[in-house]
Amino acid sequence: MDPAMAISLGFTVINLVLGEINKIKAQAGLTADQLSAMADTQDLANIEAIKALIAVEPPPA
Amino acid sequence: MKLLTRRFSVLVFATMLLLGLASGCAKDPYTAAMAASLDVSNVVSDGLVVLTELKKDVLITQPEVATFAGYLGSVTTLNGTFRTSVKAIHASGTSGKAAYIAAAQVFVTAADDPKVLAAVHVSNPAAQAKVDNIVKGIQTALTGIQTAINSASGGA
Repeated sequence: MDPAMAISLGFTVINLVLGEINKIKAQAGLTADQLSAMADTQDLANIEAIKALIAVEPPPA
Repeated sequence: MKLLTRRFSVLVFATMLLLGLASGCAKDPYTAAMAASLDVSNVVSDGLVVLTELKKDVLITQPEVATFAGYLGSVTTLNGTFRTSVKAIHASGTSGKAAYIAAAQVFVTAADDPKVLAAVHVSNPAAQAKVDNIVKGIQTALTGIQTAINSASGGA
């Protein structure tokens, strides 16, 4: 792995870990039903993002 | 550099596992299961952000995007089914951990299908490294479900 790739990968992973820490802080003290509702909302957003990713863009006119 | 990268990856995933454990501690099994399920949803969301960047930077082909997005979609569907099972267990009045752990096992086994994981492959090495990290993150979150339930307060 070349240094540029390693640095890029490192930044990606650090961002993921920092994101997880923030999300865990946000979850603290929530009830199971609130956590479930948040997961339902996140899953819906994920499904929409997946649909957008797999949609084949039309060729330019 | 290779050794440094490997050590860094191990450190990062150990940290994520510890964070997962911390999120599951001192809760009842029902709350721990739902918190762990939300962790999976959040890791999938993070994976989708990375996948969108890879697609935008043309580091991954459209068929590769479709395969990986399909995997993330499958994990999302299974996660929703897991929450439905967890709600049913809670509604039945079960207070022990065993039923929740069994539901988590069904989820983890289905999501860790070796055939599906083998298909998640991209040709660009830089993109493959990022995809591998996302898959590892999801597997860590999946492992964290059972760990979180086991760490929860309440009966066995």
